[in-house]
Amino acid sequence: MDCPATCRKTAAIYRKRILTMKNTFLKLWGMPMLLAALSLFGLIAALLGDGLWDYLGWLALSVPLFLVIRHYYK
Amino acid sequence: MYRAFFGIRKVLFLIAQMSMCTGRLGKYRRQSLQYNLEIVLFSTLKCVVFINYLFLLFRLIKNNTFAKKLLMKLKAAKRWFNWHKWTSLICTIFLLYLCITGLPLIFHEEIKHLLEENKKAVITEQKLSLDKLAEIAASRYPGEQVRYAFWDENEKNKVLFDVVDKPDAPYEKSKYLVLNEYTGEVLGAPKTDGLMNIILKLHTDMFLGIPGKLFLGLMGILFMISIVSGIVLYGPIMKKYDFGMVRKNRSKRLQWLDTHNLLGIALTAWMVVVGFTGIINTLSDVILGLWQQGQLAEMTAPYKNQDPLRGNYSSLEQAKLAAENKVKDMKAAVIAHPGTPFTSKHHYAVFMRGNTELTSKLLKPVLIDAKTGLVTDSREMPWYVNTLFLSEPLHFGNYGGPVLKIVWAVFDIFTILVLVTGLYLWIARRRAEKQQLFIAKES
Repeated sequence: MDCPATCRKTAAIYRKRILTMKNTFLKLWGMPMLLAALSLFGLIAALLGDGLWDYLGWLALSVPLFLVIRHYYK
Repeated sequence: MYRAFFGIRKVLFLIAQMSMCTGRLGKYRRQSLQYNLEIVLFSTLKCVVFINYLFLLFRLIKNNTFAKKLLMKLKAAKRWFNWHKWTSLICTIFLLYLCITGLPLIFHEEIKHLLEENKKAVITEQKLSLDKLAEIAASRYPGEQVRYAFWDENEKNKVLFDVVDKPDAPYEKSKYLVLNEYTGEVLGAPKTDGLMNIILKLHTDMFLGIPGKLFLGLMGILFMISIVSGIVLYGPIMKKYDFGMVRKNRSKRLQWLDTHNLLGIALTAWMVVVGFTGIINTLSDVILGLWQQGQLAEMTAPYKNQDPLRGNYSSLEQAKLAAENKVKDMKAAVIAHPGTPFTSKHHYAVFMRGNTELTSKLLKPVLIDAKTGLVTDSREMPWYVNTLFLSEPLHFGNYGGPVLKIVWAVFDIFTILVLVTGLYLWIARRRAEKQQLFIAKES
């Protein structure tokens, strides 16, 4: 049994599996994490800042709402 | 295992070869019958070995950690689902109640402005002394005294007085008067039994006092557990699909499930912030009690064994000036008279509000001796009081202008949708399970 060839093959398979796992993680949790981060930023920016920070807060907070409406009526 | 199989094959091959070369069979190699027998023997050996290998493999799979992991994952998923189902079922009705009563409360200020009279304050050269203003307010209700003075950031040049017979009287007995700081004219008498006050009471404690508040806090905790379990369930369910997919072309139940998942995961951060700050707000009485026993007792320790004050207190105006002198860059937001829950029996407590967005919410107390008019102490509030001060705006959504209030209202409506779809999904699932049982029983 020649080890080098099979070793290389299994290593390639594992590498591909890890990459697809990373991609599936982002595909599954990427958007939720982004929306959560935007919401938190919006809430805190409007709380701790004035003027410009209020506007940024409104913008950041309305992104999840828009996305929900868009996806529902797509 | 693979290598072992090959090993066994090699060994058997060797045995077959050896028997062919050296055994009695060697003599008869050229004779076709014996030769065929060899082939048959070797083939059967191969089959036997192969079948053995299959048995070994099967036993290996049964004991294998992969299969065990799959089984454990299924059990865990079922457990998370049950946690999600039961915490949601118990708290949903109360959460719906809170969302619905909360919706008009977002626009508390605007609605109050519409319902109550609100005259503008005319500015003259100089503000009247606070003592004079308090006298004017108290004269409206003979025999009663002012116990709190409030200044609203959004209502300039006006001061709100709380007039009541005793400093520790219950809040229901308070009478409120808004005075023009410059002229002393009474600009309004806000009621405490208006529509918005009723909705506020309903929202905070369902008219059940402190037990009602704490019960709603418990519902908030169940809400948090429900959200966390919902997030854990989101992973396996949505693994194979794109974000935001809503299947409207198949069953109604599937559409509601997708809507519930989409709304739930998109609104998570807001629901967690508003829910958690709501829980903290239900602990406001606990926090006040802790502060009274802790920092306030510390600050007024020298006065602990003194008799309660008799006769006139020192000047209110002087108290305000002394406080503003002690803490620069801060203006008085609330002044509490001796005997009220927010101060000791011997001090005025002047709560100062800062200039920045953050410091305007974190009030800082200055204790003024009500006999001498001198500053006794002033400290930053402990972390749990500051947490409460920050939780209030984060829960109400009234800190970021009118647009934030509209955004808050939309989030609230979407949260109601999450709750309603969740309820529908539970009902539909029960109905489907009952149908399946019925069909199984029939057949």
